[in-house]
Amino acid sequence: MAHPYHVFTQAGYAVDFVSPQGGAPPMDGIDHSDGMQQAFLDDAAAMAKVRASLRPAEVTPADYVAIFYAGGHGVMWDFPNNVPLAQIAQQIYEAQGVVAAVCHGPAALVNITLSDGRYLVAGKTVACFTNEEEVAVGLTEVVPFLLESTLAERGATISKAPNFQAHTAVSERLVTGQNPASATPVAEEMVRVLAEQG
Amino acid sequence: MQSKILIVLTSHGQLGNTGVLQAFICRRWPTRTTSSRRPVTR
Repeated sequence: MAHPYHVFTQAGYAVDFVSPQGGAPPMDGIDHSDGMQQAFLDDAAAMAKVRASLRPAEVTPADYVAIFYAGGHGVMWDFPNNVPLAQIAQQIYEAQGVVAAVCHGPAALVNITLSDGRYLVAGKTVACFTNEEEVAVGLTEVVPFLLESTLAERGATISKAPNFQAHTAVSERLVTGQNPASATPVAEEMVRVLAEQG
Repeated sequence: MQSKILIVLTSHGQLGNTGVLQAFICRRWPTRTTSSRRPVTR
């Protein structure tokens, strides 16, 4: 999340944070040897925003040009069935905004539908943490569902690279990435698509 | 007015050693890795 945040702010965007429960989200997977992660941790203003993340009900979708779902295995439990978060993404997308997700973040996409009732991912090309990567990390039997398989069931065409290689997919205004290495490329693609939107 | 992007974070704690695992993945295949360059393994 620190890397996309850097890309967004360097491109001139303001960033807000939201989480299903609001407030301070669990901080995990921190690598203090990663200069950008450490810089984020040292950024008092950014950290204050994270610790006071908005609740979905506090978000006005019209205020945002894009929504980015971060990853981590935890999102497999609290993103897919969060209706308010899905509605925020739907409204941003239908207002010509960008919806993006990386690693397990595309778990948020499995139940997002558009006004016509179709799944957002139906007919689109999507990258996500793959079934092979889930096997590689030994969590196939732990996660509540296989992300790649479920997105394919929703009508997405899965695009993937070998395990843990950076890989992104851009399909209309949906930008997705496969794994942690894809976080920065996804953010960069978002900025590019937003620039094209004008 | 400055355009805004919304980042969505989980409220769900990671599982067991999953956080450690993610950190391992991030160290071994850092974000700067590109699809044109294979990860360095030791």
